[in-house]
Amino acid sequence: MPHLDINNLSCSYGSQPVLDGLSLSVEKGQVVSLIGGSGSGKSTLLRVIMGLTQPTGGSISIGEQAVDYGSAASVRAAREKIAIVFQQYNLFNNMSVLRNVMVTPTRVQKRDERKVRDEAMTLLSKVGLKDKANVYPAQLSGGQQQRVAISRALALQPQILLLDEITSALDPELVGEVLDSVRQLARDGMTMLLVSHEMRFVREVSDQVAMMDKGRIVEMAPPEQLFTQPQQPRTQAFMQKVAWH
Amino acid sequence: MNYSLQFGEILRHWPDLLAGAITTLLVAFVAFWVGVLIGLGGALAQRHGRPWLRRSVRAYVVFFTNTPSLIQLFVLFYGLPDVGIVLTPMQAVLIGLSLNAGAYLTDIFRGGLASVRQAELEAAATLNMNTCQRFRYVTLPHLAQTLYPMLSNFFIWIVLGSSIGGLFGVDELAGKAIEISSTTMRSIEAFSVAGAIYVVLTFIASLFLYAVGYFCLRVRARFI
Ligand SMILES: Nc1ncnc2c1ncn2[C@@H]1O[C@H](COP(=O)(O)OP(=O)(O)O)[C@@H](O)[C@H]1O
Ligand SMILES: [Mg+2]
Repeated sequence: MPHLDINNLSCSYGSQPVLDGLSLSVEKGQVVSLIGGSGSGKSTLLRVIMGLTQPTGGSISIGEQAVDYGSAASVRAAREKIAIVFQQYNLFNNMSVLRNVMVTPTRVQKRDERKVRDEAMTLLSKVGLKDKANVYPAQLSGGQQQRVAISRALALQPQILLLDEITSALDPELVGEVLDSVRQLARDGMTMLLVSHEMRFVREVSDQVAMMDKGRIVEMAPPEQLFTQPQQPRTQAFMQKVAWH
Repeated sequence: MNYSLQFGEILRHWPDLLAGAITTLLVAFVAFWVGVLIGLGGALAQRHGRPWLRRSVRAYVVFFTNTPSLIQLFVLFYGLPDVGIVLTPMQAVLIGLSLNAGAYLTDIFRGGLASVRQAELEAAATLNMNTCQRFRYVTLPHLAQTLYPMLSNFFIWIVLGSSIGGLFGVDELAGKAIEISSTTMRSIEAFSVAGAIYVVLTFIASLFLYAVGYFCLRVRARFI
């Protein structure tokens, strides 16, 4: 049974289809990476999974539970299991780092404040930001903010983590520290679906890589296979293009 | 033209003046906070409400920001009795100033709401915050922080503007000064003392607001 199962999913903005009968499944503990050109629908897929954009067809299941995106309760239940980290971090600028991480567990999940604080500090020290707990996001570098965003997502104790180009807004020298945090999560067995343009990282960390084009998965294979022997012309063309960078 | 200033007679009324100053602060405080509630509600209604509601709020704002508050108070105090609603001077002044403040604050909050980062609200949604929690943890702190300097100035403006109540017989600072000046026949002294007290009041209020902004909201507002 896949941990995250996406079946024949469609989504359109107005008359323009953005996801076009997309199917994809992620097994428990697996890391699946989405690659593909800009505008191919990668972010939209993650937004639909999180209930930020309404699908127009198809289905998504988390474990055995099908998500009904028309039902607030069902979306709420899905968001308890899945967390997302965005390209632009989207931290709460008016809260300190620690409070960014703590606010949902304490105020939404109503868990014990002291216990959450300990967990939050543990998460922050794992990403090397223990000493920044009382600082505000504006005082941090992009890489540090992104690691806070990862900690904030993990504080919910999600089963599945979605990462949308989390290093794209960072200066090159800050990319490494963020990717290290993701590598650690992969080693810990977190189920992840991530979008990335860091091909070397994708190749190293993924169990499966899915090539996306025009709202569909055109090819999905283990990284070695996809990177060295792409079968589809679209994937071959894409690989040639990224090879130049 | 041999007018000799005599402050003694005015200063003898210091308990009256002090009571007036306190009333001034109370009136300003009430008008400000009622105005904030109206303003928040109005701004939210303009952003999320149905077309008829948006238009009504707009009409309210246009009316109250484009007519003198003196005229608004005349209507409340002298006009409403014609339709059977009789207000005390204090009621008329509180309602008038609150509605007036609410109109200005609707516009101020509307700008503030437009500057809330959509991405933060979306992040909050994915963290399962409901509408109230998103407002409480994202929108409200953003408004408090970005609008704080403007709101502080606005409060000072209401403290001064509430002096209009004196014309309707409200016992606030200006009203007391009018009363003292007519009983002592010492207008210059009465009004200059009242003016000085206003300066002290706004100074204290500014200092207080500055401290609140600095320590609670991390805002470095203009101080005097
Ligand atoms: N809010 C929106 N309204 C209309 N069109 C959108 C919106 N968001 C994305 N799109 C369109 O959907 C397509 C897929 O976008 P996106 O999922 O962001 O692609 P990717 O993340 O792969 O670059 C693009 O053509 C984009 O222009
Ligand atoms: Mg994208």
